Amino acid sequence: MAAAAAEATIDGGGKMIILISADGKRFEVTEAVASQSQLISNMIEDDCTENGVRLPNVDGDILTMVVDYCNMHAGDAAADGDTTKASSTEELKKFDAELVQALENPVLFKLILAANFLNIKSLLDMTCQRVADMMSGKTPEQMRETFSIENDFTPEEEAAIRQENAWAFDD
Amino acid sequence: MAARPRTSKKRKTGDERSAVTLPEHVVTEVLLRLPARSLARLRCTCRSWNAEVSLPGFQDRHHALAAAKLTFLEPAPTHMGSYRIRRGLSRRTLPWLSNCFDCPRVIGSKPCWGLVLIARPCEAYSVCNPTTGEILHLPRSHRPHCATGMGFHAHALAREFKVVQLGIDEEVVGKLHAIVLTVGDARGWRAISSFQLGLGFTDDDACIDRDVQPVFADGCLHWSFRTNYLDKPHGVLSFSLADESFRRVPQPPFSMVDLVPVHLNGVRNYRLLRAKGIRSGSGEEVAMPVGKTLAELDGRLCMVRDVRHRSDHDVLLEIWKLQDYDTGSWSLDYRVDLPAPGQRQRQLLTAPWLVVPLTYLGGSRPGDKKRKLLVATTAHEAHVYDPDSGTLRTVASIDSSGDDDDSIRLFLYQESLLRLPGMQHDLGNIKFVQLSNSEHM
Repeated sequence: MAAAAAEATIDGGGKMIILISADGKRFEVTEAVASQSQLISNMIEDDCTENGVRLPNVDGDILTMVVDYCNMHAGDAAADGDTTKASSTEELKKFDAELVQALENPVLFKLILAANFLNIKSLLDMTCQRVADMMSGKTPEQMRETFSIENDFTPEEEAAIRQENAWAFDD
Repeated sequence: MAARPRTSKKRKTGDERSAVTLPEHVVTEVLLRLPARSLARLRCTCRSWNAEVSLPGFQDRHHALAAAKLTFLEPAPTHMGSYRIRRGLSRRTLPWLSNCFDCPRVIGSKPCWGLVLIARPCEAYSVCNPTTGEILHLPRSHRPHCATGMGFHAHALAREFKVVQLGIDEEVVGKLHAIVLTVGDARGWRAISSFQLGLGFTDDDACIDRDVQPVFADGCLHWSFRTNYLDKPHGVLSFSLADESFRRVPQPPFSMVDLVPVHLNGVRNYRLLRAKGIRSGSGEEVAMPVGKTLAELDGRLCMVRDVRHRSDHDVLLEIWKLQDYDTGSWSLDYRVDLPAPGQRQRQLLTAPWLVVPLTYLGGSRPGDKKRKLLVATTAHEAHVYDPDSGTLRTVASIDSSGDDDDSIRLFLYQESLLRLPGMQHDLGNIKFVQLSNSEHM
């Protein structure tokens, strides 16, 4: 861990890594950008990124978003690196908001799956928050639709549980 | 993560939109970020989600992630209350009907896991969950008391909430008695056994400072107490919720320095002084600043040094943090400093009777002196102090003209789905108003 961090600092994260999406698209990114993914960071540590990193779960269009996100946020991680390149907090907030704002299911869910697979905590947090924001204010029926849930309550059970949570229904 | 039985699996339908299914732990991450209201609705969707949202572990994580919001407890319109009063030294009490003031009131500087202890002089104490609007009426204690407080401790995997009442015996000089109630325990109020501590209550003016809110920190409840001798042996009374024992924590070093001789003509703001007493050695009459309150900041017990009465000073308040219970050492943690040119801003803090710190904002490191500080005042206002610019920004101001209520009614609240057995759905005259989100301050 310490050795890997030291290496990244010496060459300024300049070493390049190739990411390969499920549909064969190739993305060239610096180690510093890629290692925001805990998965790739571990691979870098284990020295197994030589021939590119194949990501069979992630489509090219989703990986484009992930790489954009990581490029934008690379400044966060490289705290004592080149500060001129690090984006301001304001810019980052705006970028993040625009990234998820336009997304709907199933693209948003695919992005969440990618963030989960690549283990990029900040992106996972942000996308989960987006889904939560989309769900809040919805009725139980609409929620079932969003997540394709079947209502398995008996009518009596459903009436009882609605009664218990009545405070959440009075508008 | 332990697998738990699911009564139903989320099923894919033939619908194209549902082609992507999220793994369970990711779905949980989404649900944790929902407002409590949405989670209550979610419970009505299917059995497995109802089960998930009901798990204590889920509810704890949800509470921890919830944004802290400034919340205001409205004073109730004037009403009558029936009390029992004691006459003279008799143990018998008599019924008494009178106006009920300062009702309802929040007890404690911060909610416990989203629960708030409410005092209503016209009724018994109750524990409320402002999120769900549920209330648990606590049994009456039938014992005169002068201070109360609520805290919790982990007991055999579960969390126990305890309410403690303190009283000072009028018959035996300087003797403190305490009773405790474990919320939900059928035994009701219990006297705290083997309570014979040398707390140094040596005179009959010993009292718990009722203006100072009890503070829960480090698993202990804390009250400020004093005697007629203002320079000794008063301090902080600390009650451990786990082993139900008391100890005394010495005061920070400023306590002696800040005693003001009452005859001094140079003191202009008499309003900001209180609790006249005497110096034990000389018998000189002295008073202490009114705002010497307790607070919990960064999870630690803190005491506010109130120097607002000193018109020669830029500094208005200091925050001292308890470093060590055993040695009783305190250290200066933070300063609220508004230079004289900002007279109007100074007034926001010097005009109200009390100013209490609610939380530090921004910064992740305890002890960071660049952090902003959110304070609430008895003028029903909240301000953010920025040490960088030496300015104050008002973030909440409740019009309280027309009522003479001057208790702190603003507190920081994080949503919670916690439900105690026996809770009911009628808050009566208790009304919480949600204000701004502290993340945006």
